[in-house]
Formats: sequence, C-alpha cells, structure tokens
Amino acid sequence: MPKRSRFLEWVDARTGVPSSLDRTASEQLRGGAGLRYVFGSALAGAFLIQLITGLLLMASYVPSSSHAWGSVWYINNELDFGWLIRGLHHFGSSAVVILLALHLVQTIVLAAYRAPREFTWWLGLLMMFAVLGLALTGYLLPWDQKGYWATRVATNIAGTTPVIGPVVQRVLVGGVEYGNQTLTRMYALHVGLLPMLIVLGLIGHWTLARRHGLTGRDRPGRTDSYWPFQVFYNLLAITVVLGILLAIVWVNHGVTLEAPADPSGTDYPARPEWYFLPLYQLLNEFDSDTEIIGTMVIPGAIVTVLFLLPVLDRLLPRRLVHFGACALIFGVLGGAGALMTKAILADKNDAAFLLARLEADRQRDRANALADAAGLPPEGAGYLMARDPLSRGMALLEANCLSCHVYGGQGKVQSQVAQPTPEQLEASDPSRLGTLSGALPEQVLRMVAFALPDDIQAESASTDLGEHGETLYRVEGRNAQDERVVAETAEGDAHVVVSTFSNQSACDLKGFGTRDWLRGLLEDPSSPAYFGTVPQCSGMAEWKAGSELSAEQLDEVADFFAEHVIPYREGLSAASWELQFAEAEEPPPGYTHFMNECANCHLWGLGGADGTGVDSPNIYGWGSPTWIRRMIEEPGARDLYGYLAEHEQMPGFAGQLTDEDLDVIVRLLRGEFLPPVGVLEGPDEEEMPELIADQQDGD
Amino acid sequence: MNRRDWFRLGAIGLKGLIGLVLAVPGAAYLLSPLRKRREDTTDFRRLARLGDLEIGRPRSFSIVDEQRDAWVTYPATPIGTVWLVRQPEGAEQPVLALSAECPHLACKIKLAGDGNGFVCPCHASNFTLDGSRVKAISPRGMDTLEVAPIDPNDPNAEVRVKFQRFRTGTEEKIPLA
Repeated sequence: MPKRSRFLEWVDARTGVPSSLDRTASEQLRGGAGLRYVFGSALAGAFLIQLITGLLLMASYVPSSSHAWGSVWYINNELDFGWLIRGLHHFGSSAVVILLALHLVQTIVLAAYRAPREFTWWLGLLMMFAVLGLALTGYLLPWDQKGYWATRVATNIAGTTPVIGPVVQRVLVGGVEYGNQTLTRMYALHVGLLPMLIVLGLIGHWTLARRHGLTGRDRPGRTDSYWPFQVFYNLLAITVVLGILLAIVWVNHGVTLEAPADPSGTDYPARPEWYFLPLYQLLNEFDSDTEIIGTMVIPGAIVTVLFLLPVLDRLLPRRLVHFGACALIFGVLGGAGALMTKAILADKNDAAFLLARLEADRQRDRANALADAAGLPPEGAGYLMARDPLSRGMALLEANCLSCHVYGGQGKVQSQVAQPTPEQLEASDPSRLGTLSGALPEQVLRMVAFALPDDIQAESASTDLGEHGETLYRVEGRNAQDERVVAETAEGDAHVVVSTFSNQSACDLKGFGTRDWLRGLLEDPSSPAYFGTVPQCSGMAEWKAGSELSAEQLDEVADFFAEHVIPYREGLSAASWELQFAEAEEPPPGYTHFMNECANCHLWGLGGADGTGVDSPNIYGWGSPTWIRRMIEEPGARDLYGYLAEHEQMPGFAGQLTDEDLDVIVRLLRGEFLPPVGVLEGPDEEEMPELIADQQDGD
Repeated sequence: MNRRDWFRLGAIGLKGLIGLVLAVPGAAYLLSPLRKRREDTTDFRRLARLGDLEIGRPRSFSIVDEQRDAWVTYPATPIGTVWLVRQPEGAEQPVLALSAECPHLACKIKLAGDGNGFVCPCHASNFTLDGSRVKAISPRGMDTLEVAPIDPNDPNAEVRVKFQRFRTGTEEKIPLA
C-alpha cells in the first residue's frame, strides 16, 4: 500500500474512495497488461469525448424547429473551432459504434458473458441500446434535410410496431406533425435521459468489471498491475481513436450541414448514418406486407438471443452455446456488412439518387451562402430558402411559368432518368430510332430506345468527349407536342437522362420590370427574349418598324420609366401622377417621346379597347411589384390584356399563389437576390447588402 | 528509470495530450465572443432638424438599426435612445446629444418629473440637463455622443449623431467595440 498524505487519510476514512482507487491501481492482470484489454476503456474514452464535445455544443445549440439549423450553422461557421467540435461529435458517434462492436465481439469470443459476469453483460447490452438511441436522436437535432427525413423514417418504423407502435410514435414525435415538440423530445433524450443512463450503466459496468477482473488468458510469468501498465495502453488506445477522429474531421473540414428541413420538399434522398444502413437495407429487402420481419422480427430475435446468452449457457452445452454465439455475432456483422455494401452500391448505381443528391448539394450550398450573406430571418431557417428568389422563386417559376416563358433563355426542363434492367434492354427495339441506327453503338441505341417515350421522333445523334475522357452520347428529337427532347448517356453508364425542353411562347422573364429589360424591348421587340414568340404582342414590332426615335431617345424613355414609372407609389392615381409631367414646363424628355409615339396605343391608367380602337395594356406603374403581381393574378383584366380573346391571354394565377410567393417571384424577375456563388463580383456587390436586407424584411 | 516509470510517464503524457487536444479547441470555442468584434457601425445618423428642438427642453430619439443576434438578423428596430438637448444661443455646440444608457448599470435614463434634469429609474441616479451627475451613484456623467457640425442659424439644419455604446461601471468613458 503506498503512503498517503494526512489529507488523503482523512478523506479515505470518510469516503473510502482513495483506498478503492488504490485497489484498482494495484489490480493484477492475468497474462500482463496489453492492448487486448483496451476495448472497453477505449469505448468509454470515446464516450467521454462525446460527452465533452456534446456539452460544448449545448453551449450554442437551440432545440427549436425555427432556430436549430441557424444555431448549428453558427457553430459550424462562426464560432472558433466550432466545426472541429461538431466534427468530432459527429464522427465520434461512429467511433463509439465501431468500438462498441469490437467490444461486443471480443466479449462473445472470450465467452465473457458467462457466470459470474451475467450482470456485466446485461448492463453492457442495455448501454448498447442507449448508445444506438443517442445516434438516432442526435441525427435530428440540426433540423436539416438529412436529420429531418431520416428521423421521419425512423419514427415511422417505430410506428409499425404491433399494438403499441402508433402510441409510441405519437409520443416520440410529440403529436402527428414533426416540429418543435419532436425536437425538444429528441433533445431531452439525447442530452438528458440517454447519457444519464449510460453514465449510470458505466459506473455499474465498471464496478462489476473490477469485482470480477478482466477476462484473459494466463501467460506464465507475466502479471502487471493496472496502474501504470494497463492505464498506459488504455490511454494509448484513446489517443489513437482521437487521432483518427481528428484526421477525419480535418480532412473533411468538419461535417456538412444540409439545407434547412423542408417538410414540403419531395426529392431529398434521405439515408441514415452509415451504421444504420444495414437496417435500412434490411427494410428494403421486404415487401410492405412482410416489412415487419426486417424492421422488428430479425433485429428483435438477434437481441433476444444476445440477452439470453448467459441463461442458455446454463441450459445447453456451454461450448455449443459459445460456438452458436460466435457464429451469430460474426453472421450478424457479415450480414450487416453485406447489406451495407448492397445499399451503398445500389445508391452508387442509381442515377436518380445521384441527381437528387446533386440537387441537395446545390440547396445546401445556397442555404450556406444565404446565411453567410445576411444571417437568418427572425422567423427561422425555414424561411431562408422560402424567401430566396433563386430557390423558392425559381421552383415556382418552373412549376407555373416556364412552360411558356423562359428565364435567361432557359425554359422548363423536365429530366427523367431511365435505368433499364438487362431484360428490358434485350426487349427494347433500336430500329424505331430510324436512320440514326448506324450512328451509335448497339448497346447505347438499345438504352436510348428504352428511355425515349414512344411519341418521339429522333432527329440527330452525336458523340462527344467527357471531362474524364469518356465518350458521351446524345440523341435529340421532338415529341408529339413538338418539344425538344434530348437523351444523354455516357460510356459505361447504365442509365440515360432524358430531358424535355418546353417550347417558348412568351417573353424571357429574366430582368422583367427593370430598365434593362425595357430598353431591350424598345431596341428589338421581335427578339425571342421579348415578343418574338408572342404573336399577341406583335404591336410592338409594328411600332418599331415605323418608329422615329433614336437610340438616345429610347434611352431617355427607359430612363423615364426607371425614374418615374417603375417606382410606383401605392395610392397615387394615374391621373394625378401624370399631371406632374403633363403640366410641367419642361417634362422629362422620355415622357415627351412616350407621348409622341407610345401613347398612340398605351395609356396611363386605362387599357385598350376603350373606344380608341387601340389594343394594348395599361402601363401605369409598369415593372413595379404591384403591376407585376396584378399581371400574374389577373392578366385578363380589362386594363391589361382583356382585349385579347380568352384563349390568347396568359392564364391568371389569382388565388393560386400566396403573397409571399408572389413577392418572391417578383424579386426573381427583377433580379433582386443574392447572386449564386461565383457571380458575386462586379458592381452588383455594392448593392447587395441593401437587396438582402429587403429580402429579409419579407411581407 | 525502470519499466514501471516509463509506463507511468507515458500514461501521464498521453493523458496530458488527450486533455490538451480537447481543451484547447474547446476553450477557443467557448471564448469566441472575446475575439469576435462588433462591426463598427458608428456612422452619423440623422435624428432631427434643428428647428424641432427647443432650448432647454430635451427630446428623446430612437436609434433604429438592423440587429444581429448570433445567427439571426432582425429587421430595423430601435436599438437605443438618444436625448438631444438644444443649447442656449452662443453655446459652442448648438445641440448636446446624450446616450440614454445609464453609465452605472445600463438602465434607460428618463427625463426627471420637473423636466429640469434626467433620472435613471433603476438606482435613482440624477443627472443635470448637461448630463453631469447630481449624485455619485453612477461612476461618471451621462455619455455624450458626437454631433456633426450644425449651422446654429438654420432651423432646417440636420442634427446628425454618432451612436455609440460605452462600457458601464467605469469612471472613464470606454467605447464598446
């Protein structure tokens, strides 16, 4: 017994702690200290790292569906080493799971579940569930797309449990809808209940381990005391684990944060964390009527057998049980590995998944750029994308406008991925591609023939060289609606991407409502960017043909619009607005030119068909949000395009778009948004803060 | 040194290493606010016209600005209050601007009931109309703010003030940046 100071004697007499530590330190290890005893301690060490990093994260995290994403974004991007702390915590969960598996395997291989260590075993298994619970609950906390969708799946699996499932699900989710209550409940489990259970379990597990000693083989002539020999090896193992973690975090520069959770989104490719992939794949192996076998029966049976091992050990021949247990654990791990590989390979070869993943990456980067530029709106991360013209606005434009209009020359593109099975490939008929048959390899032709719908007339085929030197194949054609259809595939790909491009029959909306757009229109109304594809608006081209206005005078008209028309003032009547120019001694030159030429058709305040015999829309306030919103909602109004026959008008969207949606579309048209990454340069940059501030005000 | 000592030293070294690797980034993370500096937004802001102010009758004006709270940006909201006191004719400066943030413990200073001075409601510290202390509760008088030069004869002249915050509880006036 080493000598202790008087103070420690005093403490020892009252608590017994120093003595107990001394006993542990001097515990003799059978066969000497070594790495074979480190697994439990390394696991505890990894858990400790999780506790520390977790506590640090708690210092900045908010469990609320509005602000969880923002707080995690702040940790990742603004706090010093926040990315490192979060990265360690994220990848640390993988370390815990791996070490847990190793510890479990070693325990079974050494048959350490046998008497008298039954309780150590059971406690360990219970802690294993708590650890998996931590992994599941932690996934949701950032409230990003990944956590949100993965948790929806996980809680719905819980919901399929017979009898109690729906109740359990409802309690876990905190209702029917996923939201604040889901987050606070998961948070309470993640930072409160589960860690507490594990810490208590660890104390018990460790005390029992000390009571029964470590399980190991005797090696003649070698015994070491726990301190400092085994402690050294334990710390060495933890150092290695921490080193690997740091390296992974460093290389990945932390862990990404996906775009904020969007419950209305449809195509987020949700996948669980890698260690849950086997369970995920197991689920996919069964049809819906037998799904419960994958979600409950198989995992449940494995767990039951593990729990009963010490009992079976008494009832059946011990060596048989041990053999069975080893076979089971290696079988489970092997099966899990196989399922995981299958899941990963399936995704890797699934073009639709890859496309969805690309889109998710794009959204993630956009969300980051938006948060970086101007922070989050007070209402929360959900509005970050919903108020972004380039995200929500573009989605609305694609869904509602781009079948006729284009934006920056780009119409609606519908992409579909076709991935034929070998049988389908065999059955497809390349001869229907007609004359192109000779131009491409047989295999590619068969794929394209499978991918293209029947109504398509193939017109041309071409090959090109891709980025990595692979050959790219491209077939173009037109469908029954005369829309351009392009099928693309690359050498070695098992899929074809078929894109259908809409036919433009209305103007380009990019920049609509700005001086530049108007100036372009005045220059060349017959360009496809303006009314070149819109016979209803041929009046502008007729005017241009007879116009006497010079380029400079047209500039002045555009200036007049930019200064006086586009900045429309709510509540000011057209008549009183016009008086300030009509009665001015020196009206703006643009106004005079307008009166000379444009006013032959266009009126301020009243549209055409007013008895003048002239058909044209009212352009008082043209380009202002008010005018554009009205044009979107009621293009057939009498003062707009009401003079056209109904089938020639643009369809109205009154009642179909919310105020916020209209606002975001208007800002998209007028170009009032944070430019995509890589475009943020030039004079625009100076206007940015203002634009973004406007954007945040919302409605 | 025997084998035991080597192991002992090794164990202590590893323990220290693990501790450092976790403690250094952890501390830096928790101490981020010390390093993060507020952006300098001390532009002159237009608060009133000279003609809006009467000599000897202080008026309060809100400072409206966008506010950043960690990751959230709040649209323009009042973030502070400034008292403007028109000085008698012939004074060096036609307008005195006083921050309404009490230099004692940052409560909001109001006009005293008789209108002839200021009072902080939290700890009853009184100030005169020029911002100096009546009672030595606050460590210093009210903080004066810089006012852009004004033409004292033009009632339409804009009163523009540079709004700043200062550390509380100190005798010296130290700007918070």
